[in-house]
Amino acid sequence: MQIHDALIGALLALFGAVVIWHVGSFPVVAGQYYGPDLFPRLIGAGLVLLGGALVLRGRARAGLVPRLMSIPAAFEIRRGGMAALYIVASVASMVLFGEIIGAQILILAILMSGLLARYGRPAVSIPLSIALTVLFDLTFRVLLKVPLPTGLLQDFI
Amino acid sequence: MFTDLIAAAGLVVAPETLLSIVVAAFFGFVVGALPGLTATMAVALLIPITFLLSPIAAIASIVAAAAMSIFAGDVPGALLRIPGTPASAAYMEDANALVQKGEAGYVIGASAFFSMLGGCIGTVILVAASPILADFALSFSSFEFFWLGCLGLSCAVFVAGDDLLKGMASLMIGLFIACVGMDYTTGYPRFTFGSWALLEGISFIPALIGMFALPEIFRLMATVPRVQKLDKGDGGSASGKVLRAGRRYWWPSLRGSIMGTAIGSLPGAGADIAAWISVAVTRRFSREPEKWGKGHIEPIVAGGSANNAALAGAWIPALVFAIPGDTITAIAIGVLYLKGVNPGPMVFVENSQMVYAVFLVFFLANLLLLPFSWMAIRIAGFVLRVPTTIIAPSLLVLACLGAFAINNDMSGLLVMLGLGALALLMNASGLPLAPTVLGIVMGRIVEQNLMQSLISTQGSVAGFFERPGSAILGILTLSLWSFAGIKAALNRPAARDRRKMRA
Repeated sequence: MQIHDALIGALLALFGAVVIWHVGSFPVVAGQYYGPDLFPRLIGAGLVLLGGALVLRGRARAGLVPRLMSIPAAFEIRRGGMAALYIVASVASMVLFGEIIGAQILILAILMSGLLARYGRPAVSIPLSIALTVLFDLTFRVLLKVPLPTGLLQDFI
Repeated sequence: MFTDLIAAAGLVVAPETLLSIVVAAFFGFVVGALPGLTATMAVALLIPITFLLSPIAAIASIVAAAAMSIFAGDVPGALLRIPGTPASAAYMEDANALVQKGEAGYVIGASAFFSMLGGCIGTVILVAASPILADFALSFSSFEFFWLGCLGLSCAVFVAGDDLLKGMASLMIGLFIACVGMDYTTGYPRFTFGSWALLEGISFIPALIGMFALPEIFRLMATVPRVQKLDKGDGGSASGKVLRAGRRYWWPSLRGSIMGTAIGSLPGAGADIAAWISVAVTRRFSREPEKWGKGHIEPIVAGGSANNAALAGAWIPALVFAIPGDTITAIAIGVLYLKGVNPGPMVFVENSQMVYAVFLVFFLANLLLLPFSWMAIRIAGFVLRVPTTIIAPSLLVLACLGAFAINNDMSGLLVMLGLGALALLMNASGLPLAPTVLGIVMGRIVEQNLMQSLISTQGSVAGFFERPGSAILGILTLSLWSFAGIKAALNRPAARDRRKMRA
């Protein structure tokens, strides 16, 4: 997928304007000339200016109505969607259920689903997922003392 | 002095010290090679072990772990496009492009060799000039640090490539991300949307993992599975190529080492900033700018030399004035106090053997990079043969664990996911990622010094040009910005066409 300069420029300029509007609600500190809004306000102004310049440049290069986005083929969208879903679901499951279920079980589930879906060959994928889970757990929890949540396995680990 | 040096050598070659150095170096290598785990974390994890060691063995293990983890951060960056440390991100594009050309051994060998060279040059400067440089760094006030930060941000112009507009827009995105969290002057929470996890700001390790690792994992998952087929490379041994690179790029290496030491000696500016600035300056003066970004060794030479030199530089204010140059030396100072050694000007008189031993340990730890790079090259050969379908899910788990490990908090994973999505959007729009990373790393430093300076001058901007050092740095920064603006305006297509027509 490719996004045209004019579209990303417009988004950046809009975002900059929202930042400037939002920092207007920041408190003014008595006796101080500048408050917590100064730096983000400067950045917001920078985003508006640079976004505007990108819109103008995009328009100048592509005519009055540029093609704002190139859409990939249907099979690429499907593959990309599945990949995005796998990544988001994996990260979300770690965040939402890490404490309850435990990092080790979730790591195994992420690895096994990913390997079975992409690599196939259950005879290799399943033992490999278990071995990698043990390796990651030993490296992070045991060797590096990272307090990974153990959840359901608390009594066993 | 000579008798002190002999006594220091005796301390360093003690079996306990040598064993500590080797074990800590291996530990640093493992931690540095894992995405998300920093050199600081490697050193922090060593603290309980240092309680059991003699003072010199304790410091030796800290120095060895830090030097090794900074180098090891280059390995996943080069092989998998996931920087192990923020410093490695500065030259990761070229390192990975070279690996894709079948030059993994060359890249890792060069990274180790120039890191070693930078570390040794930094140590020589540390030995020779520590009191002078520390004094110089201490004369800096918030005004000088502000301008220095702005100069550092100007590097975004150079690392962004040809498109100045997109480079600056990308930098603004990074600076905005750095604004998230409690305001420096008032403690007012900005852009946190009520989340306590964002009060401390966005931790740049999960941010970095999200921006570099997630798009790569997405690409591997979304494309047709393939076994990585790399080009054969140019032929010839990796060590021969490294030596040729050493002869050809001796000046970028020396300049990177000197800059790295100087930047490292400034409190608050560490190896990450040193690597970024060194790469940017080298790109500006490179004789082969067209090769950058396509697999060129020069950025690896400049960045690798600078980041390890900065480690030595950070010890200058730490040893002489007990002011930590970075987080690693902050931990080291604590360990020194615990061991009954008080850093400061008097340490050179009261504990001169200890000081010389630290210097010798620096040389030893940096020389150890070479055998460890041999090990890394062997590992690289294995990693590159693994199918991408196995690598992608493993990398996702590694990314999640790295993002969690930095604060032992699941919110790091959300930061990673959010910035991963942002990076995908930026990739699709052709916005370069490097300036955003630079903005995230330096934004807070620039804002803090700007606010501190404005408070001290009661809002007057003239104060930024009153001190000689500040005035010089300010004029330099403004000139650089004007020059970049004029150059960009002259290079606009319309201006180019007009010039061609006139010709």
